[in-house]
Formats: sequence, structure tokens, C-alpha cells
Amino acid sequence: MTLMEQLVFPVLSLNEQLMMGALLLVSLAVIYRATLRLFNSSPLRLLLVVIANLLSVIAVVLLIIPVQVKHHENDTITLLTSGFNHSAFNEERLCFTKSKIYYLTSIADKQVKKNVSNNCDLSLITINHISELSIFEPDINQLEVYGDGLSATQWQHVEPLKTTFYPSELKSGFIEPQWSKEATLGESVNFTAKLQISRQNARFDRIHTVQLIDVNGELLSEVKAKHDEIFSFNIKPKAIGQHLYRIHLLENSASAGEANTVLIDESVAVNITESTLPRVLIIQSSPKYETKHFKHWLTENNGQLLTLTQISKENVLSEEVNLSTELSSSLSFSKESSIQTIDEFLTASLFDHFDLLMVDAKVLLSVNDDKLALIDNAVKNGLGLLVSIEQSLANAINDNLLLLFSDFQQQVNPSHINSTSVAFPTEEANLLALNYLDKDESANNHIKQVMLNWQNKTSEHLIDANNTSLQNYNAAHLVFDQNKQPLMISNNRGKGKIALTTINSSFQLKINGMYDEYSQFWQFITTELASNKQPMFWLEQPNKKIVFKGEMAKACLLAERELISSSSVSQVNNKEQTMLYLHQQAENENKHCSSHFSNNAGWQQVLFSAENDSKVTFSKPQYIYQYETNDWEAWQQALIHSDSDNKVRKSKVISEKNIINEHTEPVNKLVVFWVLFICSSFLWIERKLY
Amino acid sequence: MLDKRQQQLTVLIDGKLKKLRWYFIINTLVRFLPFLTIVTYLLHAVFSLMLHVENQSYLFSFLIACLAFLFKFFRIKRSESFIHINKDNYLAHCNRHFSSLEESAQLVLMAPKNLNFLQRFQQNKVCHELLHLLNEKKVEKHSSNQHTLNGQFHSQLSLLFTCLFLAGLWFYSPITAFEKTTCQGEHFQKNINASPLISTVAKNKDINLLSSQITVQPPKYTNLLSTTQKDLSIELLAGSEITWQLGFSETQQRYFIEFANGEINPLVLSENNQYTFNYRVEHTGLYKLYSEDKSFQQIHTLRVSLDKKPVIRILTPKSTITEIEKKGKTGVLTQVDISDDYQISHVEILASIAKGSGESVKFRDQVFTFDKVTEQVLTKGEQYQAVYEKMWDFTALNMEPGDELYFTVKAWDNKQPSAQLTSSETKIIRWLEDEEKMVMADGILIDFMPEYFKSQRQIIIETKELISDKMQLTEAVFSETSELLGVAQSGLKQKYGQYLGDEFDDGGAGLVPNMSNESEEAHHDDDEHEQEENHKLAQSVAASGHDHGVAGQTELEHSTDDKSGYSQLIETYAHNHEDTDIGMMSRQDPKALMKQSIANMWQAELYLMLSKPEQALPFEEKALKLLKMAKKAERIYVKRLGFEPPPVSEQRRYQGDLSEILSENKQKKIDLTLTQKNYIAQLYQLIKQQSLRFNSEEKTNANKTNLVAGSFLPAERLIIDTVKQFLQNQLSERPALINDVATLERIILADSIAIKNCENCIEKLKNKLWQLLEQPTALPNVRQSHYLMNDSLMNQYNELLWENNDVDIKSSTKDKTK
Repeated sequence: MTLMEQLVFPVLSLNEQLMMGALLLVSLAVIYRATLRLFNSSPLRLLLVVIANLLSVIAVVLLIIPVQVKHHENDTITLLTSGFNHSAFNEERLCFTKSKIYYLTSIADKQVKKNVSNNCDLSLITINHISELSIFEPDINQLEVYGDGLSATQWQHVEPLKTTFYPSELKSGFIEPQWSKEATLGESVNFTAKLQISRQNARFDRIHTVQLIDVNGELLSEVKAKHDEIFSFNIKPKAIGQHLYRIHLLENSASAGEANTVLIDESVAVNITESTLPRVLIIQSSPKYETKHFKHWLTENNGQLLTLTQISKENVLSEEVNLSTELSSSLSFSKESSIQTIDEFLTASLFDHFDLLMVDAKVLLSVNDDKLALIDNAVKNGLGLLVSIEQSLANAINDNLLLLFSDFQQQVNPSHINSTSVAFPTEEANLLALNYLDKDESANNHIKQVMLNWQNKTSEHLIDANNTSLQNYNAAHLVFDQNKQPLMISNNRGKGKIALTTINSSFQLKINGMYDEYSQFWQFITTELASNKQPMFWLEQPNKKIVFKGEMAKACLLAERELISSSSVSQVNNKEQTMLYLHQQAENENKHCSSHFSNNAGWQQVLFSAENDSKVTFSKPQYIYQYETNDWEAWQQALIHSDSDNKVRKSKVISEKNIINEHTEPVNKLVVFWVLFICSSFLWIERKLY
Repeated sequence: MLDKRQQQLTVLIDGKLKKLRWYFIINTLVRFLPFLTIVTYLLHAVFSLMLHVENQSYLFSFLIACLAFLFKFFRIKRSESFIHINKDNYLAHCNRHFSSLEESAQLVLMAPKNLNFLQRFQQNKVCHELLHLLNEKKVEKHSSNQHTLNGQFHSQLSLLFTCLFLAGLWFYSPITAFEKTTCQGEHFQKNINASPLISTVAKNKDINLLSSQITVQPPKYTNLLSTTQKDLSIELLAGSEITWQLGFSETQQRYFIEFANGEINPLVLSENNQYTFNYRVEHTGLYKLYSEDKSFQQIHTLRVSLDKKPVIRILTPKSTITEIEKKGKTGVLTQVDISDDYQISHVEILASIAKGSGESVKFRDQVFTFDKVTEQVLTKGEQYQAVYEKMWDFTALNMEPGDELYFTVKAWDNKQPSAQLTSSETKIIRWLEDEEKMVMADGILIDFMPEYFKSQRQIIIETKELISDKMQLTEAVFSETSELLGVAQSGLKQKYGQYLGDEFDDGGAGLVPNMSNESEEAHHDDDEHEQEENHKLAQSVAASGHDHGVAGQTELEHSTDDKSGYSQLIETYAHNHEDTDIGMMSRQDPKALMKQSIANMWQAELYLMLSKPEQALPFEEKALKLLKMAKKAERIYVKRLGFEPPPVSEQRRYQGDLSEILSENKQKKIDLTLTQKNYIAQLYQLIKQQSLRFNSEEKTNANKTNLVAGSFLPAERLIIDTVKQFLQNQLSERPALINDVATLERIILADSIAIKNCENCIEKLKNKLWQLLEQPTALPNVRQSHYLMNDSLMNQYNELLWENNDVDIKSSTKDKTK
């Protein structure tokens, strides 16, 4: 670009143009006089005078006009962050850009400054916090970030028009870890994460060993994984309390004799609490092994239970186990022996005392509509209902005879197809009809042998189940068999949940020594169905969230208004209590959250204390584990990389339109002034001397 | 004369001056003492309070006091007052106090020649007077003149004050009081943490274990040398004798040693103030050393390793039964490897030779010794290993073909007082009479099969005959013959049923298809038709079994003995593969095989009764094959003895009398008492709670963290005691638990988990408890909802939703009716 191209001349107004014109006329007049005076005597002098005059005029004009010059300045700012790798590529780029380089001393490698400044002369400015960058550089056009980048919070301090991110090398470790931070005793915690191996690692593409280490340092489990593969562990802590498991990534030793070295060691914090035992009501048309064993399992674990069994046409056996004295006395039937049928037991208040109702098909089909409406109402108010289905009940549901199961309408009605199958002459229709006929035939065989599958668990033991098909019902599948056929389906109804099941012999697991499987199965069922009537409980921490030291830890709870009014929440740490504020959440008036910052790593206890209506102090703790800043480094890096990439993506859209790389500024007119001065002096001397 | 007196005076005055100077120094120093004492105490207070170094602060302040004292001394020596104590001033002092000297005492030391007459006269007079005064002490030692002339100690008050001050400090220290009162708040946390340690120190402060020498003398038969160690936790061999030689800082007390079995023995004070005691230790356990006043208590461990029994490994023959053909060689070589951790005292072979068969079988027992012994290279942990060889020569043993030789090797070690005996498994050598090999199982011939097994073969033969003769026979004869065969088959089936303890009359064969599923081999041999038939039969039987179960399940209890009752039902339903008193129903399980055989007999009987012998034949053959397999199976099946329920009388059966069934309300409270495992979980939680310090927990050693001190509650103490007892009971099998028992004992003794001199103990105990904990059972739980059941907004919305829904339903039903 030539100098002229760089100069910007302003558009002159009319007055300025007239003034310029006048000036030009004056100078022409002066030149004319000089020509008259010197044309004959000294042409050389005349030439010099004319040039001097012209230069003076031009100088005067240039001095008057606000001439500006275009600048194409390099206004890129470079920021070095943690993980900046001093590679030849980065060094060359930094030296080439000639930009200002900032680096965050708090997190960046201390060697950066030394290494970079050794190779090329660059201005390196140290900042301790990212907010300082906005003070040094209030208007950043382009920002080049090297290293791990900045977190979403840090990006709030910097608003460049264009961002370029040169990410650091990926660290070896575990990314995307997720697990339940809290579980009840006996519940297994599933930990999953993805293995990430640095490309700088010589064994990048090899198979690596990941170990789960128990609380007492013993090896619990081991998996083999490659880079970018997801692995998982099931953890089942043995006691209530706060536990730390460890995940080790082993570096296989080169020789066979040597022990493997632990490359990465991360901790997995799990808080184990006592489970909230549901109160269960069982209503059955006859005694059953299934309910008997369930009763044993529940009551062995201190559960509360009421069983109503029609033991003959005119007699009902009621059995209360572990019911509180108040509840027992409030159940009026316990004193009356004249009650003959189950119908007579069923009252609206009865259901209020229980969280889960287990009932068989015969009972449901035998009770009158009023009692069904009571059950329906109780379900809508939160009661969980588990119904052992039989073909008779299935037919009733298909015919929409029970309002309670109106949500379970079959997607395809087989009876309809059966009735019309003759009318279809096509081969497909006949096959379909035959299929259903087969099903009907198999339905005559009441029992089928199934292997239970629920959540991520699979039982390898065959048990008997009712042969009624639940395939075509419009419901979520809770449990299914080895052929992926549903064995238990459920639907929400109001605040409650209804489940239909064909499993009537789960006790076979128990009597065959698979007590754990049996317990896990029923734990799953109760956790899915039984209503939670606690006045206050803490909400679970997000599975994917890890809280680090110095970060904000947030704990949310649900509590009734009466409790909240007399409540306090405090952070307990070494017998010191710091009161925390509870903030009501907009989406739910009963949801309150408290947040705190802690500069200590480890378990943080947040204690909710309140007084209930009977002025009894009620307290419930929540534990949050805060990791050290150097824990889960690979995951932290991945998160920051992701935040920085997002920022780059957003800035690309904005920068394409708004970036102005050049700006103008007034021309330095000192030279012009000197030209005018010299020319004027020459003309003055010429007139005075000659 | 005068010169003499002058010399005499000079000596006397010098003596007086010396005394005066000493008194001056002493008085000045004593006057300085109160100040010095107070300053020294203040310095000590500053040191002890600020620097928390009580013992060293005494030393520092004492040194500073000494330095100050010396400084003061030298300062007095250089002071003007001290310098002014000279002859001139002394004489002037005498002039002031004694008028008899007529203010002329200074003349006495002047040279007479320098004096005028009057002065000389006066000098003479004063000399005389002064001599008299200075010599007066001999007469009146304690007169006031003497004090004036010699000086005296007059700082008694200062000395008294100093003594009183020091005495006061001895009985009452303001620093201790200050620490107890004012510093309590400031150092609250620190005191809490430190107090158990301090108290432990205070307890043991008076008495220290200065020296210890433990001599362990292993039992003589081991030929091991005695060892000496200083560590009071001892590892030893059972039966070793231990000698403790302990030196205590306090020898005025009696000391005792208490063992885990409650035995308490006093330590005997011997020469050199050493306490000694001898004891023979047989079992792993703890022992406690303590002084009479319990101010010294220490717990240590005795980890006992037991003498292992000899190990016998028969190298040849390898199999339990060795069969030698009649025409083969008549000798068998037996090689046995015997090893022991010490020595073998005796080895022998106990052999029995069986002759004859049936009731005429005769046994001849005989003890043999090995022909040759070759000692082997010792392996780790063993002191003796050798290979013993014996060549059995049948002819030398007077054996004949058909005889059997049973032999067992017995080895005794050299343990005292009673040697330990190990017997090997019994090996059988059969000299076969003919070439046919018999079926043997674990040394016992399976020959219990009755003749009915052969009749199955007979049934097959007859069935084949019947099929081939079909054309020749009339239909009636054919059917009759077939039915007769069916009856024979039924009888055979029932006979086997007795062995299995099953009743097949009411369709108990429903079990069979399940069992047949177990045998893949059986399936392979079946054709598809058979499988289908079996399947249908199984389904029908299972269905009937189910009905029966539903009707009678209230009273049924699960009993493994009750084969015809509940367990049978369970087997039908639960696809039970195993039964505890029978063992695994493996492919080679005779019970399973026999059941499958009976199932086939059922089918055969069915078709024979239907006069379809062609269809019955495959089942018959399969039944025979399975029976043969059962014979081969290496398991002895014994008829079960179980609960036989009394039969229901005809009067009660099918009457439908429900008069005894009444409505009932049962109320139960299940009070689950804590098991030992629960106690372990509770102790783990207790230790965790006490050692848990948020932020520093987990990554640091538990002993290094600030531990909460304080007495345990009675319930907590019960937990600790119970777990300790539980671990103690495990010691015989798991001696390594002794360290954890010791830690628990220390915790009980200290009444806190902050125990002294036990690095990582709590952490190790915690880890061990975690290891001992069983996997917990999944417990029932409620739904994890994101709203409260009493959420008013939710209730309103719910009601609104259902109102609308009801309206929709009503309108849809109206539409339908229209």
C-alpha cells in the first residue's frame, strides 16, 4: 500500500473550499509578481521562488486540512493458560504474531515466561486473575488463547470480538465420570467414565488396565480399556457413612516381572445413607408364597406391613407387622372380628397410612366400584399400586372395565384381530391371526419360565411367571424377560404409580440362595412404586457434577412450608457451624437451595435443622465431597477445552461482521511545518537580501 | 615500739576490711535476690506460656538467673562503695563511732617522723586505744562495737522474702493456674486433642519400662535355638517357653502380667532390679503388663504358630483303585512323599487284604513298613521331606486273583508331648479274577441294584418280541401282552421311585422333564417326538402341581426333608437344580439319571398300556441306558429318610368344612437383635465418626489427624467389647487378627481411639473391620421424587387435571351411548 493510499483526506466544506481558492489566488498573485521581478534578471531565482511559494501553499493547505492516515495495526492479544506446551510450533507462532502476551500466573506453567522470552523479544505481562486482562486490555479485538483455555466463568471476564484457541495436549485420565453421589445401604452405585490417554504417551493405542480400589485399599475390580472407551464399575459400600473409593489407571510395566505403576489415581466419593422404609399394604384373595416371602424380606429389614388375606369365603386374616401403636390402634378393623370380606376393610384413611399397595387380580375384580374409586383416588394422591395380573384382569383392562387402568389401553387389541381374522383373505392376516391364536393357546399354559432383567441387572436363574402378555400395553417396561418381553409395566397416575406384573414367583430366587438378587429386585420395585411421604428430604447431587475446592457447592432440598419456617441450614466443619441461606426456587415453592464456598477439600456437611409441629427438633445432613483442584485433571481440562471451544464457535459468528482491523489517525505534520518554515524563510531572505 | 603497734594495727585493719567487704558483698547480693527471683520467675512464665516448653523454661530461667547473679557480683566489686572500703575510710569510720579516738585515728598509720610532737603524742595515745578497740572482739564477740568494726549481715528481710516467695511458688504456681483458667478458651481444641495423650503420659510418667529382654525357647523337639528380642509383641511356636526380663524405673511397686485367659501372675524381682517371669504359651492372645497401682499398663501380643501335621502325598498309584489284570504283573510299586515342618517320628502302612466274595469275604489286617526312604531337598518352611517306597508283591502277600488290597499310610511327627498323626487316603489295589472290569465308586462297589434293572432289559426284549410277533397275534392278545408289559414297567418304575423318595402316583413325574433338561446327553438321544411328548407331559403335570400348590400353600413350610410336600412343589416351580442333602444334580448324578430313567419308564408304560409298543420301545431303551449311566456314576445314592406327613383322613378330605377357619388379626413386632456383623458395622462407623475430620480426612493417616478424645458411652463400649470378643474367637483360625484385638484392647484401656505408641493402628483396624463386613443386603426404599406429596400447587394441578379428565370420560361415554 502506497503512502497516498494510506492517507485519508477529508471532504472539505464550501467555506473551506473558498478559503483554499483564495489562498491559491494569493499565491498565484505572489508568483506573478515574482515573475515580473525576476524573469529577466535571474530565472534560476525565479524558479526557486516559485517552488518555494508552491511548497508554502501546499504546506499551509496541509496544515489546515485535517489529513489522516490509515493504520493496519496488529491488535491481537495472546493469553497463555495452564497446560501451555512450549513446542516449536507454538514458539514460532508467538514470535511471529508479535502480539502482547499475557499469562495467568496462578495456573500457568511458571516456565512459560522464561522459555518464550528466551527465544524472541516479546512483551510478557503477568496476570494473577483473568479479570486483570480486561483492565489491561479493555477492548480486545482478537484473543489467541494457548493451553487448556478458560472456563465458562473465566470467559465472563473477557469479551473479545474474535477468539482463537490453540488447545493443549490432552492429558491422560478419566473424563465424563458419572456416578450417584448418594445411595442407600445395599444399593449398588454404578460408576462410568471414559478413558483418555494422552497422545504423547508411548502406549497411547494400547490396552490399559483400570482398577477399582476398595475403601481399605484392596483391589475390588479391574477392567481393560483403550483410549476413548467407556468403562464402568459397580460399587456396593458395606456400611453407612462417607466412603472414598479409588480408580487407578495402571501403566503396564515393560517387563513381566515389574509391578505396574499407577499413572492416574482418582477418588470416587460416595455417601451411603439409610433407606426410607416404605409402609406396605398387601391385599390378596388367598395366601401366596410370593407375598409371604416378600413379607419376610420387608419385615426382616424393619419395614412396616399390613396384610389382608381372604382365607375363606367369609373370613379375612389381617396381619400387622411392625406397625406403630398409633397406626395399629387407628385401624379400626383390628378390633372387629365380624368383618367377612376385604371390601369392608377398605377405607380412604387406610390407604393414607401406606406407601405401596400390593394387590392380586382376583381382589381387584371382586371389590365393588366404590372401593375401586377409593383405590384410584389413593393412587392419584401418591400411593404406589402393584397388581399381580391374570388373564381375567387383562381381559377386563382390554375391555376398559376398570377406570383405574384406563392409561393401560392396549395399543393393538388382539381380540379385535381374532374376531376379524376370518374376514381377511390375505396370507399376512392369517399368519397374524394364527400368531394370536398361538398366543391364546400358550396363554392356557399359565406358567412360563423367565429370567428377570431390570435396570442394568440380569438374573441368570429361571423362575416361573404368569403367561399373560404385557407386550401390547401402553406403559413403561420396568422388568422384562430374556426375550425382552415385559414382565412388569407401569404408568403414572396422578402423583402415584400403577404397575402390572406377571411375576408371581420371585421367591424362587430367594429359596435358591439368591437372596441378594431377590433383595435387589424388590428394592428396585419399591423404589419405583412406593410413594415418598417424607416431610423433608435432600435432593440428590447431579451424577455428572464434581465439586472442586473453592467452587460453589449447591445443595437443594424439598421441605414442607411449616418446616421451612422454623428451619436453619448450616455448614458443619470441624465443629464449627456456618449458617447458610436457603433460597426458595422459582420452579417449586417447596424446593430450597443453599450454596456455599469452601476452601477446604474433603467432605462438607450441610445440616438442615427444623422443628416440626410437635416442637421436636428434626435434623438431616447432606454430605458433599469437594475435590482438590488437582483431582480429575483430565476431566477438568476437557471441560475447559469444551468451554473455550464453545467460546470460539460463538465468536466466529460475531467476528465475521464486526472486526475492524484498521483505524485512522492524524498525520504527523511536523515535516510539513518545517517545509513551510524553510520555504518562508527562503522567501523572506530572498526578498530582504536581494 | 610504735612501729610494732602500727604493724599490728595494719594487720588488724586489713582483716577488718576484708570482713567488711564480704559483708558488703553478701548484703548487697541478698538485697538483690528478691528482684532476681521475681524476674527469673517471670522469665520462666513467659517461656512456658509463650513457647510451651515447660521443662526447658526452668533451665533457661535458671541460667539467666545465674548470669544475672554473677553480673551483679562483679558489678559490686567494681562499685565505688566497694572501692571506698579502704583503710582511710575505715579509720574515719572509727573516728565517727568511737569518741575515745578523739578524731585522730588516721594518725595511727602515719610515719612518726612526719609528725610533730603533739601529733606523735596523740598517735601514741590513739594507737593504744585503737588496738584495744580492734582486739575487743575476743572479749565481747557480739557487742555493737564489733558489728561496727567488722560489719554484719543485715539483709535478713530480703532473704526471708525470697524464701517465702519460692516456697509460695512451690505450693501454688500461678502459671499452672493461668493455663487452667484463662488459657482454656484459647487453646480449647488443642487441649481436647492433647489431653488423652497427656493423661497417658502422666499415668506412665512415674513408671517407665527401662529395659526389656524376651527369651523365647522353642519346644525341644523342634531343635530350634532360643531367640532373644526386645519387642514385647512376640511371635512364637506353640509350646514355646517365654522368659520376660523387664526393668522398670520404679522398683518399689509390684508388677503383674495378665494373659488372655484371665491368668494373672506377679513378676518376680530378681537381681539387678530386673523383673522376670516364665510362661509356656500354647495359644494366640494378648497379655497385659501393669503395675500394682495401675499407673503403668501396656498391652502386647502373643502370635502363636502351630506345629503342622505331617503331609502325605501318594505319588503312585495315582488313582484310588488300581486294577491289575489276572495275567499281568503281580507287583505294584507305591511311592509316598511325606513332609513335615520339623521331623517325622514314625511311618507305617496299614493294609487290609480282602479275600472271597459275598458273605464269605474275609479281611486280614497287617501293618507294613516301607522298603526304602529317600530324603529330599527341603522346600521352604519344611525341615523334613522324604519319599518312601514300598513294593507290593501279591504272591508274598498270599493274594489270589479276585483279592483286594486296601492300604493307608500313617505318619507321626515328633511333636511333644503327643505326636500328631496324619493318615493318607485309602488306596485300593484289585487283582482281577477275570478280565471284566466292575463299576466302582470311591472304593465301594455299586452293586446295590436289584434284579429289577435286568428286568428292564427283559421288558425291552419282550417288547421287541411283541412288535415282531404283532402280525401273528390277535389284537386282543397283543393288547393284553402289551398291557402286561406296561404293568411290569409300572412295577419297576415304582420300585425305583422308592429309592428316590418320590411319589409318582399323583403325577410327581412332573419333575422329570425338568430333570431331563439337565441331561444334554439324554436329549441328544431323543428324537423330536419324544421331546414333544415329554414337554406336554411336563406342562400338564406342572399345571396340576401348581393348582395343588395354590390350594395348600398356606400351611406348607419349606423343608428339604419333605420331598413329597413343599420342596417337591418348589422343585416343580423353581426349577430347582440342587438339593442340599443330595448334592449337585450334575450330569453324572445318579439321582438325576434315575429320575430321567423313571420318566422314560412313565412314557413306556403309557404306550404299553395303550398297546403301542413301537412307541414305548425308545423310552424303554432310553430308560435302560440311563440306568446304566446311573450305575457308572461315581456317587452312592442312599434312600432318604424324611418327614412323612400323616395322611389326611377321608372324613376331612374334600368335605369343604371351613368351620375351623376364622377371621383373625395378628400383630407382630419384629425386634431384630444386633448380630456380631452389625456390631462390626457399628464399630466401623464409630471409629469413622471419631476420626473423621472433614477436609483432612481419608488422605491422611488417622493417627496423625486430630482425634476426638473422650470417654465412650456405655453403648459404644458394648460395641467395642462385642467386636473384640468376636475377633478373639476367630484367633485360633486367623492369628493375624491378634493385632486388631490388641488395638481394641488399647482403645478400651485408653477409653478413646487416640491411643499412644501405635502407629497406623486405627487405620489398620478400620481396614480390617471393613474387610470383615459382609456385603449388605439391598433394603426396601421409597420413590425418589422431585416433589413433595403435600405440595399444594401440585395437588391443585392434579385435581384440575382429573376434573377435566372426568369430564372427557363422561362426554366420551355419552357419545358411545348415543
